[in-house]
Amino acid sequence: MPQHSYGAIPWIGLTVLLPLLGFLVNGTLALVRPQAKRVVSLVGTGVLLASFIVAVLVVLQLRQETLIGPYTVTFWHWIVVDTLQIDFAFALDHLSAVMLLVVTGVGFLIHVFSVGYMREDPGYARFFAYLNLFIVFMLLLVLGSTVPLMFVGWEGVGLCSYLLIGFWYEEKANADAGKKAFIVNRIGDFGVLLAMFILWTSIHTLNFAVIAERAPTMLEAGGPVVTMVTLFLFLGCVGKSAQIPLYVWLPDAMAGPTPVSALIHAATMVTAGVYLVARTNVLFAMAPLSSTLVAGIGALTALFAATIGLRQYDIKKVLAYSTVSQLGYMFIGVGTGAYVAGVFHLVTHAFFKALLFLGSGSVIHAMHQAYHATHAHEDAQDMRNMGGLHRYMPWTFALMTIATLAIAGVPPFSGFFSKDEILAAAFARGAEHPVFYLFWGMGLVGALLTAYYMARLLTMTFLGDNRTGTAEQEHLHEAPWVMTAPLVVLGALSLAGGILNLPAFVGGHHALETWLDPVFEPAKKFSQLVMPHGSTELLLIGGAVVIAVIGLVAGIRGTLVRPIVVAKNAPAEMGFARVLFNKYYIDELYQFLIVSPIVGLSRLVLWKGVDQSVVDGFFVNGSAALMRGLGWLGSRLQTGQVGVYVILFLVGVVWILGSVLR
Amino acid sequence: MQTIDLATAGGATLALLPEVVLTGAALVVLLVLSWRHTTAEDSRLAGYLSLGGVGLSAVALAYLWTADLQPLGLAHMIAVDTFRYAAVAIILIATAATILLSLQYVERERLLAPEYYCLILLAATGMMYLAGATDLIVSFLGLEVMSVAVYVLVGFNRGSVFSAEAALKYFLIGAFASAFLLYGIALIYGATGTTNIMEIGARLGQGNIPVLGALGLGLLLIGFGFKVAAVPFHMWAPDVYDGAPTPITGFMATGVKAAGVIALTRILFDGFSHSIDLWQPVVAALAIASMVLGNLVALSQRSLKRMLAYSSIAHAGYLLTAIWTGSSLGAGATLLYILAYVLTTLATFGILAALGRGGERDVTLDTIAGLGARRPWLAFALSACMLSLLGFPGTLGFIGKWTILMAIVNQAHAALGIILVLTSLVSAGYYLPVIMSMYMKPASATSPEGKMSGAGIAVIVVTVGLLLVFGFWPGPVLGIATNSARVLSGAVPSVNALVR
Repeated sequence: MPQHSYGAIPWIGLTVLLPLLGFLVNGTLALVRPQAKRVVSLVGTGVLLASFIVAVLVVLQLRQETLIGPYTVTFWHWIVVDTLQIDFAFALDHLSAVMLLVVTGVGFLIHVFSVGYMREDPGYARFFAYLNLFIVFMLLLVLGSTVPLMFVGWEGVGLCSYLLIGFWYEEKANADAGKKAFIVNRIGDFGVLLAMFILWTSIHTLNFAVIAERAPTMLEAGGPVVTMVTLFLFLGCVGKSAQIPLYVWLPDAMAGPTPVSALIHAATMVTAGVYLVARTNVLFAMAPLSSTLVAGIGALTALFAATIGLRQYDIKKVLAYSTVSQLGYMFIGVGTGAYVAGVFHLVTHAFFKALLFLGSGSVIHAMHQAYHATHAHEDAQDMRNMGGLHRYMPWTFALMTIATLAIAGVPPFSGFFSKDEILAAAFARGAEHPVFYLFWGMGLVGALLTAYYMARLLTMTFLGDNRTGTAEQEHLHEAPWVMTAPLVVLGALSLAGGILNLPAFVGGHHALETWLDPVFEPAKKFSQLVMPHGSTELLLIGGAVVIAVIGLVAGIRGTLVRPIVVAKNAPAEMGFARVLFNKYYIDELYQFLIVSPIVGLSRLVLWKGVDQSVVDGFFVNGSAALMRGLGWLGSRLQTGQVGVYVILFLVGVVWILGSVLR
Repeated sequence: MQTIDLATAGGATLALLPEVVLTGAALVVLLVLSWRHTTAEDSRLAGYLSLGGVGLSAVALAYLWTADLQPLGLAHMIAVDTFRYAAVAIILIATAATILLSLQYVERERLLAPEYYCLILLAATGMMYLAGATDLIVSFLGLEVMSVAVYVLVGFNRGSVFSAEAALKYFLIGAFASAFLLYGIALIYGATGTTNIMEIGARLGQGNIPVLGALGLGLLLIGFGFKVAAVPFHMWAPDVYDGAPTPITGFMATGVKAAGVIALTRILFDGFSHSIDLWQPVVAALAIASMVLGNLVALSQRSLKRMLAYSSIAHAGYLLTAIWTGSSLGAGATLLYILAYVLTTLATFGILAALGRGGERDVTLDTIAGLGARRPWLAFALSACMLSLLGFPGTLGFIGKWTILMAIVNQAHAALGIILVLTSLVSAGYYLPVIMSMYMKPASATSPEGKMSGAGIAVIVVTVGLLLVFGFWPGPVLGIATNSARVLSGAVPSVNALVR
């Protein structure tokens, strides 16, 4: 029988190898010829395009295969210790295929945008090297067949995130933001490590496919082991995907260049937590307690972050809190057991949030150029300095409007379908566990707030009168095509992304659900979700649409009626708005409760007390002084007199002869 | 495989080919310098001739090693086995390097007497006999040939008071120690009626060793303890190392010590394997005393040569620890450690010779300050040497120390291993300041060091290169060392503590 050929699938390694080559080339150029921007652009975007093409071919082939379990490509044996064998291997299944397309596709668009956005930056080559490296690690995360290899990617994207947040490291605030992201994520990563250890000791495997196979038989459903594993995994997700209480790093991460915010802190890396829950769906399905917690944290974050978004003026900060909030929705989905809905929202969110960030990047670019031309030193990201920009940047305005409608959940835009499915699932689960009705309600209120703050953003930025300044106005204009073109593609995807998983009531066939079915099949044994149908479904949808429209209208009206003062003259916020503007003082609270005590303990007790006086003073220097003293004593024997030498010799003779004769 | 009869003249010559070739070379050098012994060129000629002799001897050794000869019956007088070949190889390396390092040195220090090279060859021949002997008389002859030549070499700098003092001290105490050794041999002959090491082993057999034999063993240990500079027979070492011409110091620290340790290993393993309970405590005590005292006193030295003298005492302690195990793994560890120590020490003394400015008693931690900026490659080489002596991973010194520790652990005996590790830790206290001084201290206002000769550079590049290469890729040398050691018949089997 001829060997079955899997077409393009065995070439999946290329999707990682190509960006890696890009990283090496751009990294080298960054060191030796940073001014070679043309080569850097070609290589940086070229490898992504090639990687995307390979990914498409791979996925097209996957459509035709009928695979049981993932298709695994093993490159080498990575860690072999006793019975533990971890291969450096990629596993392609329907879930990783979706992620593969999102990462390479959206990644490519953002790379193209960056060519325009970063054109003037002296660190151009370094930027593309980091960006390429990020894609490498993100794909490792997605394709790794084992938890450790996934974890390499997990840590690697963290590293790239750190490098890119602090890309303009000359400013201390940016470097601090990078450190904050890195340190907060450490807490979560610790959880993933612990989960790995428990998995190894309990079911003796770290391979995702084998975990899915063994967990149902070797672990007790709802038992302590599986609950612990999932809770620790979720701790990792909370860090990586910026959920309460570890979300604080993401708003600060906006210190990085805007394409980075779009790629890493909106479309791909931050969704890794959602991906991880979906990837280990069997475990979460077996641990209802953990799943409820996932959904609960998700709902809380979705609502909480949305309220902060209401009162931010930095355009990127609004989007950052919006991302935190939207990630919360995804966790409601996967926590409810509606894994497909969670992944669906992940995909649509990647489209419209990348579009929003890139659009804001386009705006910031224009603002920055205008202020640069007039040598003004105003904040190019503060929405109070914008207004009326639709006259200068019609394309950006139109595309941002599409994205706003998508995220607000207005039909037929993509976000409507995915968010609706999540909320419907939470409602359905409520029949079983009433607490899910609460999560649904929180999600609904969050949706209202989302529509409000997005409408506010759009209005403050593009509508009304321009507040940039009369001298600056003539310098405001649309970005070059290399930046606008990716926006157009993302706009089309945001508009039509819902097609991926059209529900039955509009004549769809739940295409994504069918596609992902094999991946989530094992989880169904433990948690079956009966989605609402008929009138209930339509009622829910109608309610959601009404809420979205109310939010949008309120947002636009509320922003237009009050006059907006430019940032430098703006009065301080008062009352609850001030609490929101200061993000509930959470950073200050963490500083007071956690950071200051730890720093104080480290500085006063551990450093000065334990290390300097006890370890260094007594043990290290003390023993060194003792040894030196003994050595000095010994050297006193060396008198230079042969007579003394012979006497000592004879002592030795007596001693040896004494001991052999006994 | 080919058997040879050592009783015939041809067989004996074949078995002794490296020694015969080297002796012949020494005679040729002697002959040539009867006519030419005045100018620097004559000295150089003698050096190159000697080097050629070492090369020929190495070829002979290579032939013997590959020919895989077997002696007919018991090997009287001289061993025909890989343990001897490995030892001879190490001695030849040390000799060749010493000659290469001397070429420039003797000219700079105005020691233009070409007998120098002849003496080095004769000393090397003595070492080879000592290391390969299977008869105590041959051991003693080898030892004396070696020692007499080295006494002269130590005092070769006739213009230096220190050199003369060193030679006199070495000679006085050396003669004293030789007497102990010879008396020990006599007593062992009295106890067993033979001087052949294998036969001694057979006759002492199981059971209790006669008092005469025990006394003889004790005296042998004293004699060898002196040669390898083990505490408390070490007192000569710092003064002699300090006073002797630098290449000769290197030669003593490497060749003399290697020959002594290897001869001691063979005698104890083959001749006294049944009396292991008798010699193990003595060797352990010598080892501990050497490791502790050598390392501690080295801490308080400023002069690099004196520091290295104490360090060589400590290394003798490490080697004695390996011998203590009495196992074939221990013998392998001994060989490997000697190789590591010889390579490192040759490179170190080569660098010291290069750093000296006429009478290098003044090479101290202060004079090498800032060397990292002045002579980056030299500083790098010296750093590698210090790390290898310290037993830092990535160098052959680490592999050697690790093998010794393996051998100790296999004997399920922790105390010696712990002392070895702790004293090695102390040794960081004097090896690392050398590196620190070169890279982190500002240069002192002294005249720059002289240029190095090509030969000196070659020695340092090759030895440091081997140190690092085998440090990362120890398989080949590890294999040779452990295989060569397997021939020692009396070695006790390894008790694997990890399996038990």
